Formats: sequence, structure tokens, C-alpha cells
Amino acid sequence: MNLAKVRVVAAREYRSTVRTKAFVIAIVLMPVLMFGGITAQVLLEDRVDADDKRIAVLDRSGALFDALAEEAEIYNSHTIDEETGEQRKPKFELARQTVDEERIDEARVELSNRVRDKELLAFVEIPPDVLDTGKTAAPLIRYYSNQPTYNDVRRWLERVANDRARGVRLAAAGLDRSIVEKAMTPVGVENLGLVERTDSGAIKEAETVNPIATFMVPFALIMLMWVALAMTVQPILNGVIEEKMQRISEVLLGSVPPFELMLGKLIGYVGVAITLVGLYMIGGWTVANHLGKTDMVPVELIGWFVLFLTIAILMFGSLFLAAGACCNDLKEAQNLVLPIWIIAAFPLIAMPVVLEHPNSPFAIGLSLVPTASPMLMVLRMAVPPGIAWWELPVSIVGSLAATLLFVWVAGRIFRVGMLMQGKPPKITEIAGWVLRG
Amino acid sequence: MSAVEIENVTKTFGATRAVSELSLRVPAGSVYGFIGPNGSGKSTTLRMIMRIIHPDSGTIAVLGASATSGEADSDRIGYLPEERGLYRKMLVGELLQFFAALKGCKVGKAEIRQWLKRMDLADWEKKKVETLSKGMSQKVQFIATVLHRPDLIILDEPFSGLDPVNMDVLKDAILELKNQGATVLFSTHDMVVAEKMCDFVFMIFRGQKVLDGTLETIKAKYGVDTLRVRTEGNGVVFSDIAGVERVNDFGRFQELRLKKGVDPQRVLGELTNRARISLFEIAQPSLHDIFVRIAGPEAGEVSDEPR
Repeated sequence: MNLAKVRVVAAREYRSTVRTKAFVIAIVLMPVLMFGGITAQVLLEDRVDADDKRIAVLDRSGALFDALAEEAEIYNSHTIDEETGEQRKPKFELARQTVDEERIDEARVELSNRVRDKELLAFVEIPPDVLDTGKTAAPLIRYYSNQPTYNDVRRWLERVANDRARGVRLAAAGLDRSIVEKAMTPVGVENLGLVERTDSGAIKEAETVNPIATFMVPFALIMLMWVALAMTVQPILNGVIEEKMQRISEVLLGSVPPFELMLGKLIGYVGVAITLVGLYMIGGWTVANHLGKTDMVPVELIGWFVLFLTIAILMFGSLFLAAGACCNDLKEAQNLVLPIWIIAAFPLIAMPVVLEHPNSPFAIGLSLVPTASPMLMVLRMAVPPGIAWWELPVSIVGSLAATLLFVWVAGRIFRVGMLMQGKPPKITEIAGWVLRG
Repeated sequence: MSAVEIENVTKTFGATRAVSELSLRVPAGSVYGFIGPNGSGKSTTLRMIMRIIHPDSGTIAVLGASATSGEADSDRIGYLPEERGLYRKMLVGELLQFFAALKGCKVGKAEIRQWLKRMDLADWEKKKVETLSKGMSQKVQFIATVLHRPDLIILDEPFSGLDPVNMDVLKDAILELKNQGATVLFSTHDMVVAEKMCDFVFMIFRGQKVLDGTLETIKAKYGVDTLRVRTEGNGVVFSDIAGVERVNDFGRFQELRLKKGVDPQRVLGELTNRARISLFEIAQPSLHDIFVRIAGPEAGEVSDEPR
């Protein structure tokens, strides 16, 4: 093995990838895509229409309309921006409908037509027994509209109707509402870590669990690894295909044995991935520092993260190299790498379950599967209480063994594939290259 | 000493036998020409010398070390494959440095500039490869092949697609490397180039060696059996003259191949009866003609054995 040549190949791959415009743009764009959505949502939240919403009310109980109209007044008074006097949210205008129990079906049809004509947003039918508490089933207010996705009115109605109905029922039963509410004060459950005794013997209070930290940090770590993997293996594929299409491969193979060539490429791309992660970590630290939340950054995990990232790049990168070596253009390659993508992305699919039950047998078993280890181990290490001591060596040995196997298999495919031109080989042929060498 | 020694090498791809029991010896310091029709096994043989592919049987020694057992050092060889390409996004200077480094050779900028100047590419060092014309990138590729000062230079079709000016530039560079002691082994379809440049010519046809030796010995085998004739006026038919085996019309003159033992003087007599002769030359067959005799369409009917 000529390490000097491996280094020459690695240096070229690294430089030619990191220097491309596509790479620089992707580095900038990725956070925009990931966090831009959240930002956009916050910005667009108030960008709803502020037109008044007219709702007809068929109060068959005759007991709630006045209360609802009163609540609508209160609600409407909050829809105007106090500083600018601008209408921020739509007002709710409730219109009482006279109820004729004989012609109730007719009334429904007529009101429906008025909704269709856009005269009304919706109409509401309050049942006669809305305040009746003797029944087993809860009474239902019926909300009719042709805009089922617009929920603001329905939600508001549910809240205020319940509140008012309770008030009326309590009064009817002769109970003082304020006493009942006091009795009904909810008891909270605080989420805490554990208490420990410090070296000086004092007892250190348990810290309140920060829900953002416990979920965001593992989530961010696994996403960072995914982004680094996705942004690295794509150039790997493009690089090999360029070498094949531009007929560079034979010149290279005239100077470097195929395995050294492949190894050089993989090392170059590990460098690319670490550069990428380094940049994002510096960015993340800067943001955390700005917000005064640097204690949230899991500094102790960085070493393991880089180790597992390296394993992931070597493992999947070698498969992508082999796939690229079998194809003549990117289109052919995309089909061939789809199964590899699915295997690589599986930890992402399993992430919610693993995050919630990090030490369930399912999570432990899955994180010991070599192809899933890099992402899931880092994830589970970031979720308290962490992993058992034996899991780390087992997963590292397992994923390293799988990596060596993949690199070996890929090397054999790569060697033959790089010199092939013409139609792509069948899977059986590729298997033949691996077995026969 | 031999720069390349091939002994009984056979290579098959699936059902096709690309190279069959081939043996050859390339003397050190010579220019060795590889000729043969497309698909006859030239590139396969060159790739085996480069250890890019491995023979099924037989042995290959390169620069005194066995290539089949893996001892041979490809760093001392410069290889220009037939299918060639360069990284399009790299700068010319960087690219040349990269290829030299792949051969374990650190080459200074001054040397790269010298080569670029020599190849008439002085202004292109800092330009991207994708801006080069086809001829230019071919010359850059040649520099990449020889920049690390190899002892053995293997060139697969180095002249294809070059204009006469660039062809001369390349030819001079190759001959200069030879004079500095390098062995040059190149394949070509251009018989004129092969005749002019090569100390030895080797022809492979259907995976088998059919010619091997100096141009003189090869031609001597075929004897003096060719007449070059130019006549005044057109449409004169020669093919029915007794003793003429084949006529090759070049437009401005015709080449007549004589049957064994036919006296050229008798044919000349026949010719003067039919037309006014402005050129009459008794010659050895050209390499082109020998190539066609072996590999041409009528090769099956006509004896391709030298008489």
C-alpha cells in the first residue's frame, strides 16, 4: 500500500469538492431550508385574512345565544392591534335566527344556501338540551360550513360554549362557581433530573428538565449527521461518474491500484464531511453562545460524533463508489443507489420511537445494527440516561467490521466497474465480480 | 536488456479470446510500434503491461521486474490510454502536478511551465481544463504522461485527431524522450507514422502476433512485388494483365501487386501497350499494404503468408 498516493488522491478529492460552488451554496442553503420553514411559519402566522366572519346561530335551547354574543364582543375587542389600530384578526359576528321547531329542516337548507352564497361563513345549531346534564352522552353543538379546514370559529365556540354552559349549569345547581374552580385547580407534574451530592458534601438540587434540550439536541445531532452524509455521498457519486464518463479512470488506474484509489477518495470525503460538520458546529455554538445556552451543547459527544460520522462515510461512501463505478451516467446511478439511501435513512424513520424509548430492547437492538449504529448510537448517547457501557464498544466493533466488509466488496466492484463501458451490469454480474475478484 | 517482455500471454473476456499466446520483446531505448485493426487486442495488451488488467496465463516483465507477480513499479511507466480524459474543472497546472504526484514525483512549477511552453500551451497553466480544445487537451494529456520522466512510455493512439502541426510537436517530443534514453511503445493506425518513427513494428490480429521485427526485415519477407504506375489519361484497366494479383487505385497512381515470380519488365511491356506511362516504380510493399494484406477484406482469399 502506497500511502503517499492515497494521500494525493484524498487531497485532490477534498479540494475539488470543497471548492465547488455547489458545495458552498449547499452549506449556506441547508440551514435556510431546515430552519427557514420555522421562521416562515412564525412570520406568516398573522398573515391571515382579517375579514369579518358572519355566523348564524340557531339556538334551539334559547339559553346560550346571549352569552355567546357577549363572548363575541369580548373576543372582537382583542382583534384590533392596540398600537396601530389595525384589524389583525377577523371579527366574529353572530346573528340570532328565529327558531321554528316545525320548520327546522327548512331552516337548515336555507342557512346552508346562505353559506354557499358566501353571505355567511357558517351556521351553528345549538340543541334544545344543551344544558341538560342528566343524559349520558354529551350534548353536541352542530357547526355547519363548507370550509372545514378553517377552525378558528369552531375552536373559539367550543371553548366559550363550554365555559358558559358550565356557568349556567353550576348556577342552576346552586353552586358558587369560584369555589368550584378553586376545587378544580389542576396539579402539575414537574419534569426533573436527579439529585446528587457534590464533592463538598452539599446536596445539589435536581435541575428542571428542559424539554427543548432533551429533544432538540439529539434531534439536531442526528440531523447533522444525516446532512453531512447526504451532502458527502452525492459528490462521491458524481466524482466517480465524472471519472468514468470523462475517461479519466484508466489514466488513474495506470498510476494507482484500484483499492488505493478508492481509499484515497473515501479519506478525502471523510475530510469533506468533517469540514462540513465543523462549520455547522461552530455556527451552532455561535448561536448558542448568543442565546446564552452553551450548556445545552453536548461537547462531550463531539469526539464520538466524529468517530461515528467517519464510520458512516466510509460505510456508505464505499457503497456509493461501487455503485457509481457500475454506471455510465447519473441517471443509471440514481436507480442503483436508491436501496442504499433507504438503508442509510432508516435511522431517521426510527428516530421518534428511539427518542421516546431510548433504552427499549427495540432501540438497543436497532442501534446495534451496523448500518444504523452511527446515527442511533449518537442519538441515544445524547438522550439521558445514556447507554450501557458495553454498547459503545459493541456498536463500534460491529459497524467497523461492516465497514471493512463494505469497503472490501466495493473495492472488488470498483476495480472491474471503472474500466467498463457500455450497458450497466446486472446485479448477478456484480455479485460475480465480488465473489470471483 | 528488454523494457518489456511478454511470454505466452493469454487473456479472455467471457467467450472472446482477446489475446492469444502472445510473446514479444521490446528492446530498451527503442521506439516500438503496435499496429493492428480495431478490436484486435492492442489496448488489452497495453493494459496488461500496465497491470490494469491481468493475464489469464503467461508472464509479463516490465523494466526487469515481473508485472504478473506484482513487483513491477508503474511509477517508472508513463501511460496514455486510448480512452483518455482529464478533470474538467481543474486548472491545467494543478492537474499536471496531480498526475505527477500520483506517480510519486514532485514536479516543480518551472518544469511544468517548460513543458507547456514546449507544447505551445504557455498561456494555459492557470486556465481550466474545460476551456481547452481537443488538440490542446491531448497535448496536456501527453505532458501528464511523461512529466514524471518515465523510463518506459506507453502511448495508445497518441496522434489520433491531431493536426499536422501538433502531430509534429508531439513526434519531436517523443523522439527527444527516446534520445534521452526512454523506451517508447505506441499503437497507431497511421501506417506512415509507424514506418517513419518506429525501430520495430509489431502487428497483432485477432489476438495473435502476425508481424514483429524491424521494418526492413518485415518488408524483406514480402519481397519486391509492388509496382507503382501513373498513366496519362483515365480509365485504363490493369487488373486483367497476366501476373497482376491485385490493383489498388490511389487516384493519382495505381499500385499493382504481382504474383510470385512475375517479371516486372514483362508487365511494363503490357502497360505501355495500353497507355502512356508517366511513372513506373518497382518497390517493396508499404506497411499500409502489408496491413491490408493481413487484415483486409480479401485477407481470407489471398495468402497472407509472406512468400
